[in-house]
Amino acid sequence: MKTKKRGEQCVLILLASVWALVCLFPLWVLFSGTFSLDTNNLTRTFFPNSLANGISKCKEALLTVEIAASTVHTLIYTSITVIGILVISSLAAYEFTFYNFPLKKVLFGLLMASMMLPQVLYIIPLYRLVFSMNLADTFAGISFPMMVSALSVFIMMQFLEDLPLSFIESARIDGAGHFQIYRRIVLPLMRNGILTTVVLMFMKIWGQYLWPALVTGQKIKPISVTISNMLNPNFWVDPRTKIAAMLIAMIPPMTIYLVFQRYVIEGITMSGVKG
Amino acid sequence: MKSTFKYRARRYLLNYLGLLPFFLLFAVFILYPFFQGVFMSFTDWSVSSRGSVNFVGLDNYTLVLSGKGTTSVRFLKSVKNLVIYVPLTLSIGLSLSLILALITRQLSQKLFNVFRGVYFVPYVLPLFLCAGIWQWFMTTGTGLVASFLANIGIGRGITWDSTELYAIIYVLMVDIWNSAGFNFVIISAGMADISPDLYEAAEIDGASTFQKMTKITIPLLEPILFFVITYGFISALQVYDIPWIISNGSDINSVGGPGQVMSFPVMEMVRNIYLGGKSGLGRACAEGVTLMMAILAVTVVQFKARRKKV
Repeated sequence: MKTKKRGEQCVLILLASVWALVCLFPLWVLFSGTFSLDTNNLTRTFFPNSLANGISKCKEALLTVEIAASTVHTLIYTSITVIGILVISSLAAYEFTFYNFPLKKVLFGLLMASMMLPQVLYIIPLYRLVFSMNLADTFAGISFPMMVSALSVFIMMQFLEDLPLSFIESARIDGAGHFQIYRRIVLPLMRNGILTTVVLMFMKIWGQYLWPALVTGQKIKPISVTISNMLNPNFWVDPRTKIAAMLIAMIPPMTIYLVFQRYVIEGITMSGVKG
Repeated sequence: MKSTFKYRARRYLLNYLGLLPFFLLFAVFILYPFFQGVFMSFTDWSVSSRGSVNFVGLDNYTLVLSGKGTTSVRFLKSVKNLVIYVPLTLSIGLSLSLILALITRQLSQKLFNVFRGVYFVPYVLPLFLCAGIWQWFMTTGTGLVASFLANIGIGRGITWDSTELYAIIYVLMVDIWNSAGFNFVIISAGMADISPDLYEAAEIDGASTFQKMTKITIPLLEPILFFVITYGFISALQVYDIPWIISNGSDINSVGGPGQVMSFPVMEMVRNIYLGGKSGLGRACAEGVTLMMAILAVTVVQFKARRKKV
């Protein structure tokens, strides 16, 4: 009986490993492709063999393909957006979780509906709007429209629901004002909720393509646009430099995931299971 | 009495003040453009029209849906591709995630965590990188996966991004590789919520592993599967990043590859934006409204079907 169980486990592990391999293999090939000699056939390069060539390819990707500048630009607008989301969504989550007021249901319904609203339709007028506000190709122009994140409000509410109402009550009796309670009590207590939101939103905004591509032009270079331009057959880029560029572009979201894995998984689970 | 009223009114005001930033941005950057988009789909709006637009009734819609002219032929072809793509990506992608969840849930918690961490990695990569990596893999002759597939007799001698049907399979592969981890995390979390007592009881009654899966796990997962399917539909209908980047050609008309074998509705919309021309934006809006109606219809049907079943 026991040996049968063990055999079954081995088969299951083997099956599970197949997909794990499919997940990781491309990244490994990307890595070994970058750090190998130009004479190696890229189709059959499964192991890195030249650190020096890899470094020179990365340098080329950073400077010639402008991955360095793009990373900085993307980091700037992603940070602005995420900070905006945090302030806006935590305030909304605070009001929705702890208070009753007229039209609460209607407003909450609107919030939920905004999650379902397909981006396809409003993106054209939005682009013209931002353009006419003279915000096209500026950090503000990219960031502001992406700050509306119903999902973030929703995630933060999940975290706030665990807080006992008595915290709020006793603070009120002590004479704390409405926004003082938010800043002094609620914000510090929802640290995990904030971290989860930051991590999820950072990864999401970093990967945006359609909106940043529409709204930027000469000045701001989103990483997604730089990479997709690099892939365009009109521009010839050395294949290893291309691969190096993709490898570098992968670092920010990957680092966030590796460091904050628990929060990422928790956030995704929350948005699905409870939603 | 009066003072409590005053107190309440003051507090409500503060509540609204707290909600103001969210709803202000929502109104300006989403709701207003949304209604404007619906309205503009009935006008000759274009990049060059400054301020004044003319009402043209249903012209944009007939132009897009009539089947006459390049815009329409292209759009209808993209819809056809979408009709093939969406059911396939949902059924294959979700089955894969479900199977992976069923497998890994039988393992110890420690092993499960390791596999979950690995499965989620492709989803961490932004879509533009997934597209880029796979474009490299799928290039005929120099691509790793394309060469491998050709060796075992799949797609030998074809270029994946410009061959009918193969182009859709190509997008499917990239998309499933990317999103399986996301669905896996949600589905496997739902499985953890199922009480172990149920399995124990079933075991006493002599149920096999397979029976336990089909009679307990999958029925109890229904709410989660419903979420995953609904969400999957909405995002699959708007598929854009992957095929756009892969089929990114020398000029705007090569979007979607030769014969639009890899074209999808949102791509046609964006093409109309960049293309300019008379009523270009109006046409793009009409395509957007059409697609939104499809999304709405699918969502409503799903919710209705669910209510009937439960």
